[in-house]
Amino acid sequence: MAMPTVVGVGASAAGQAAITPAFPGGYTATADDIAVTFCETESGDTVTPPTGWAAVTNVTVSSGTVTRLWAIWRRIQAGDTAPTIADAGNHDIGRMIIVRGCVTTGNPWDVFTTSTELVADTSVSIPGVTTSVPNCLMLYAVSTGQDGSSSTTAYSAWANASLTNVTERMDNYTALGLGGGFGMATGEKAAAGATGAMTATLALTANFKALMTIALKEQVAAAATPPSTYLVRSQAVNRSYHY
Amino acid sequence: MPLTLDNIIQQDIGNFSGSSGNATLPAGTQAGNAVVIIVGLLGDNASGGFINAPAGFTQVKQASTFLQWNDVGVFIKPSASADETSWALTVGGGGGLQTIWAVLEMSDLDLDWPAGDIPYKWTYLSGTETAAATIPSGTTGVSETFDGVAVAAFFATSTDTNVPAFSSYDNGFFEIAERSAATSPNACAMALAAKAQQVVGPVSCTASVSPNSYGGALMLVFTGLDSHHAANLTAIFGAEVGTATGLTSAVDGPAPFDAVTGTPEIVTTHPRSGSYALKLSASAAAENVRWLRQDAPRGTLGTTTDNPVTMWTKRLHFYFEDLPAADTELFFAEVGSHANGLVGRYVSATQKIGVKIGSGSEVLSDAAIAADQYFGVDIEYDPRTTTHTCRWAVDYDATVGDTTGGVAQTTASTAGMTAGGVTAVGIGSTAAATFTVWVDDIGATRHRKTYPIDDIQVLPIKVDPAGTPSVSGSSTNFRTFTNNGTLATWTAAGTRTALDDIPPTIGASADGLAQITVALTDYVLIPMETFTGAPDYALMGGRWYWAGWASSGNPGNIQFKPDDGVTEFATHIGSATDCGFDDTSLIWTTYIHNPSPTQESAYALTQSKMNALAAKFGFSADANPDCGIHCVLFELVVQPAIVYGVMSGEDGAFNVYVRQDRRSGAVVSYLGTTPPGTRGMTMYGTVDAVDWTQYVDPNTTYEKAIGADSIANVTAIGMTPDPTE
Repeated sequence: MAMPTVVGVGASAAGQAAITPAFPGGYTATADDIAVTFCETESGDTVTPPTGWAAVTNVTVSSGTVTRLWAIWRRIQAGDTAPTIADAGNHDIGRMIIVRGCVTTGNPWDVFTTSTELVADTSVSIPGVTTSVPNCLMLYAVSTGQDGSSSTTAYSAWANASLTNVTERMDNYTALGLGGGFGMATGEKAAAGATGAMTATLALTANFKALMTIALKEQVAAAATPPSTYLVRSQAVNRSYHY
Repeated sequence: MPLTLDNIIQQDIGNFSGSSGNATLPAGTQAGNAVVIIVGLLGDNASGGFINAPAGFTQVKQASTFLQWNDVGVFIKPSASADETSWALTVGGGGGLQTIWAVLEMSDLDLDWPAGDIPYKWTYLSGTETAAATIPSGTTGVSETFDGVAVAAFFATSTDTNVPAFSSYDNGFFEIAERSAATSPNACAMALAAKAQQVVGPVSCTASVSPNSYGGALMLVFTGLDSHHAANLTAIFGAEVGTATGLTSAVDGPAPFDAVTGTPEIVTTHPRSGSYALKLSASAAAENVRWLRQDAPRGTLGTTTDNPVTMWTKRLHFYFEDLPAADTELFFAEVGSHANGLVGRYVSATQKIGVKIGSGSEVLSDAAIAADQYFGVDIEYDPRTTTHTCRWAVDYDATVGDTTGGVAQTTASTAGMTAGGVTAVGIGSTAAATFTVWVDDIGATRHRKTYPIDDIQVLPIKVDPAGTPSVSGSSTNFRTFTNNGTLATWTAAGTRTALDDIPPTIGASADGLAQITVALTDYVLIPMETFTGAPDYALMGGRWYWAGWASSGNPGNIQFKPDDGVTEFATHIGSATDCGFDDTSLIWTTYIHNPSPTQESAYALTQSKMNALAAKFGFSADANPDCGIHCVLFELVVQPAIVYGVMSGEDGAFNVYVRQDRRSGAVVSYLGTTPPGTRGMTMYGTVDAVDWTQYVDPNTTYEKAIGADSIANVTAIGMTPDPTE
């Protein structure tokens, strides 16, 4: 039983064409690591997951300062390289986080939620979820459509009393096209239950926000294999019980 | 793309002293973007001054009376060249005047407004010359854009050398720039605040300033090239009057149509929505219905003293059982004459729709239309210059429920025309022709920026059979009547019964409501049926119809005022002249449900206003003989809401869609879908500050009706799929 851990966060990539959010510096693709790339686009634009990647979720704000926040993921295989994400439209900005120790089959999340905050202000509250398993690494992300002029200080004061080790991982904006960007912070939820809302402060001007929260679940250690004699006995007992 | 705060591409603010300086931006402009310069000539309460318009800029507004010695100006360059970064400003005046300037580069602005029509307000703390702690922008006129940007500029001159600072902007505005100058003898400051303007209505903002200062502020509301605007329908016909009798009969107000040629019918065959359709049928003859600009009776396009109809936007639906064998005129608009106007027609050789302006080339639709189904046509006719243009679209299958939209067609354009306002519009053929066509669900507007109106339905709203009419004043001034004049004591139930027949019975067995005594302030309030738009429809507008009655000749008058629960509209219809009613004829009078339908006053019909919809009859200044009505009808225009994806999860397994008013963005409903299997999801949101949560079972589509009046009602929406297994 171990909390998934953050291996690292790559450099952000932004453009008005295809982008390639990088692996974390020095990272070598390691099987069963989980890569999650967050992207922000205009509301009508679409991020197409690269081959071998899949969508976790996306959420759209189509009024005010429009924005669309995406999360795509892949279970890393040895030899992988950072993929290119096709041109989404007006602009796109993306950044990748690598997490180790997640479940090695199926979707790596226990639960996620996607929402909007259609209030133009400089604070944000990203709704939490209720995890059904212990040891979840929580990813809380928020995007706005603000032209951020390549800001890396848009978010501060990330806080969530229900989690430990709350850490800002991403804070990136672009002025390309109509501009936009996102922030993302992680926290640890050891016991199953409500993860609580993550709050933060925006240094940029007030905006509507697209929000998402993803609970990445741990790889549970396999139970010790019982002796074969026990198995036989157990099956016999079951069989006799059914008789 | 709507105009949003993203369209403020860059901005800067600065100041200089002396007679000249530069307003600058940090980066070069993009060619075609607009540059807005806002300038305050501030500080020094002893010297007058003025600001000159920068070269290449148009002055939007200038206020030179700001505390008698300062000046404020707004200047716009509609289309900048590439890489402009600096603009020279020159000012006049002496003393220690400071020029504080702000520059905004904005993309996709719609500056195609008549001069002065940008919603704008300038106010200043003049007269008392008392330094204040708050500075209001004042309130603009009604902004009719649903996705504009409002920019407020605040100016302050301190009473001494203490630098003013702005804060606490209300009504959702937030500061985007502020600049101060510690000048002597008076320090000064300027600040800009902005917000996305997403609701039709007046706009204002007040800011605090410290220390107390002399000040002023202005408000500008910008709209975008493709911004959505209130529908503001100013001509409607759904044929729900149920009879062709009296179509042009009004004496003191627009009739259903202002003129007809031939014998149009109102029929129950092929209604597109509601119960009736207009049928135009002719054999080697002209047949049409027309709306006119005329004085007596007042026309649907207004009177000659109303604002001219500078543009005309319309949505029409046509149905042919059999396609005509020859070319057939279907609709037209005239600017003084038929030759100086627009004609749309069916072209038999290609079975397409053609649009032609004046003697120019006819533009054909990109595909043929089909018989036995409704097709829709959207047009926007612009005759403001000598080159008339018409944007148009064809919805080839406009059957109710069909979700395919209109197909944009090549714009028609003809030079050498006479510029002017639209004086007549019509449906049908002005030339001899042989054809039969059904027409239904007609909506049109004189307001600009409403194209395309798109898919609409016109539905009948009658007197609420469960409502309780009431009298304001003395009920003895009113009577119900049967048998074309047998009066009975006024009762609520009797009023409902007397006014419910559409079309009304005229003659010996007619019934209705009458005012029998002059009482200028007394009236009967008649609640109307309501219609709940959510989850399928957005409300767009409506038109009132009432059929008048008078007990004998030399009729008196009875006035009509609609009420939406917020406002009693002052129609003045029936207030000053004899209504021309009698007890032998069906005489309709109509009124577009808008506080000022011929003066381009924006109006948004909301669900709450629809729920409160009522008609007031009475206010009579001449009730001798008894004067009244047979019936009252409201034709409600609704539009199918449009569905967008809001969020999805796990490669589209879980989804939330919004069904939205395509103009206002107001949420009509949310739909949640879940995949087969064992996992459902929880939808949640906040509407009018009230949280709601709904669990959606696996493999289910759930629809949550919202029925919001504006985009501001919903402040959160979310989904949480069940945990993975």
